[in-house]
Amino acid sequence: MSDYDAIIIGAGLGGLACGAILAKNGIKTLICEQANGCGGCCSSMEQDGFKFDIGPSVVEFKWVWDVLFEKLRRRTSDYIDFIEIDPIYSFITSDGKRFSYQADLNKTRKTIKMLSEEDARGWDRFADTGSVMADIFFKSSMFSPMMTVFDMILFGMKNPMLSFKLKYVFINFESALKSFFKSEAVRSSMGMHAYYLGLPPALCPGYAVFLCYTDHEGLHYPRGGMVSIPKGIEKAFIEENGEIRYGEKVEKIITDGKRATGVKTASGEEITANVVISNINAKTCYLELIGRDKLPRWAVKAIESYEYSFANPNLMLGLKGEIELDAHHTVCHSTVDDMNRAWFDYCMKGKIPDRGFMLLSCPTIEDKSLAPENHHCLNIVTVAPYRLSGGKDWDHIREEYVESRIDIVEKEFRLKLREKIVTAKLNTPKDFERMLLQPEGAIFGLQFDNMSSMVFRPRIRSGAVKNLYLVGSSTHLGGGTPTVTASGILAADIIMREKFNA
Amino acid sequence: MLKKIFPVLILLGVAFLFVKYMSASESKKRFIKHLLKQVQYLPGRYFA
Repeated sequence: MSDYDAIIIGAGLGGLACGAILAKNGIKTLICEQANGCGGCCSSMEQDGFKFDIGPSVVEFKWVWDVLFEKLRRRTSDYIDFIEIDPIYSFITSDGKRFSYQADLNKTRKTIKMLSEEDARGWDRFADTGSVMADIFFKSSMFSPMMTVFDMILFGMKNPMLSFKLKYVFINFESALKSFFKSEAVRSSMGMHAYYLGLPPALCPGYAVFLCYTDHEGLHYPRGGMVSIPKGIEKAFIEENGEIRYGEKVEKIITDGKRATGVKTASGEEITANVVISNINAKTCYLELIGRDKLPRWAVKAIESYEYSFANPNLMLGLKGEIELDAHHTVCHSTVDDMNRAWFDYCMKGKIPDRGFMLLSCPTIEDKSLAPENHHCLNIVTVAPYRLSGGKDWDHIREEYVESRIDIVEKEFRLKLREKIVTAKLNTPKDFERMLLQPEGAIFGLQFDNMSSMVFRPRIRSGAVKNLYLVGSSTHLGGGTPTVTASGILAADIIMREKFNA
Repeated sequence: MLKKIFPVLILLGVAFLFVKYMSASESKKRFIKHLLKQVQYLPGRYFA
């Protein structure tokens, strides 16, 4: 007789979503979380009266949470208050020019027309193709488990339009952009979406380009900060008699040779369960919690072969007075070439890029509750390597990094920041690793490309260890708040069907 | 007859792909290299 029906390691979005559905169905479920609060990468931290998001800063595909709460026989709005974001992005060019993309497709068309007459027509084609691709890649695939070739065949049969759009699987993000847009300014404004998959435009698969379209189907922010999403799910989980232990780090997944039978915590307690669900990075789960010696050699080699996505240092500033931004997200404009260069010439060589990508996120434009009156929160998110060259260490270059990022924003993009700063906090890749136990600070988990997605990504039901299931950014569907939540929903459905005959 | 033509077709196919690759932009070459270097791991990844 096991202590629990299911144990979940990690109270991130995937773990909580999975746990809430299991608990709703009467499965005795325990979540062990090493931190003192829920959310994992999707959480917030407070400093001097400011509340900062530490990871993602907006959500797409809000309907994923509607699916979750419907399964829980609840209304999303009773648990999470989503605010619609419009304009969805603003851009500042290095010569101080600004433009915005509105949620409305026609308004965005007008903006693009100002940048390039020809690309306005490209935008029409892009939006038409985007609506088809959104249905195939981002909606139908959201709840397809993709664990075997048969799942893929079934997926193809359900989505016959896929065969007409397959070329976007086999070309890169950059080529896909070029097939619609000729102007460098327009291409650059959409290039940063490649980073959502943890790769630069040259390496990212072409279908990801349509994330630039899906933004227009609705971009939202949860009132109270991004942590409001996991907190909403946690509330439902507890209402369904689910149990959460905070500050409870799991050190080992116990196996009887072939199947997972429970976990061993850092305090030495052994807890048994019929099913173990991992909401941590898949590489850590397999190689450390289960252990190389407990896995077949081929499985160790396969798991080791996955690369981590890049790290995103996050500089959080509390600012007093008005802010010269008009959108939740402002992108400091850089060319697609700059974005590739930031990866190949800087990150891959252990150097911090001097340009390439810089996202300014100001959630207080929509949600004033995050900062004291007449103050704003601003996150400056960039890409950078985890390992620095020249013997440098993130812990020793904090000041230098903070100053250099503020310099870039002030000098190149002409925003006054320094005189307004009330409080500042930098989360480096090393901080993310220590705080979230995300190896190499890779907040998007594992890289997501054609060779590490769908059936080639760590699957939801482990093939190497029985009774082990995986959710989160490093398993099928990849990084991103809706996809991670969907992985939890998928896992719960599979577990209910396979283990509890429900 | 087919036995004789088949190797020639394969060779032509490989030559075509090679020429296509050599004439591709640096960005496309990087993309292809990035994918090809992972091919060896696909069977393991599929079953893990």
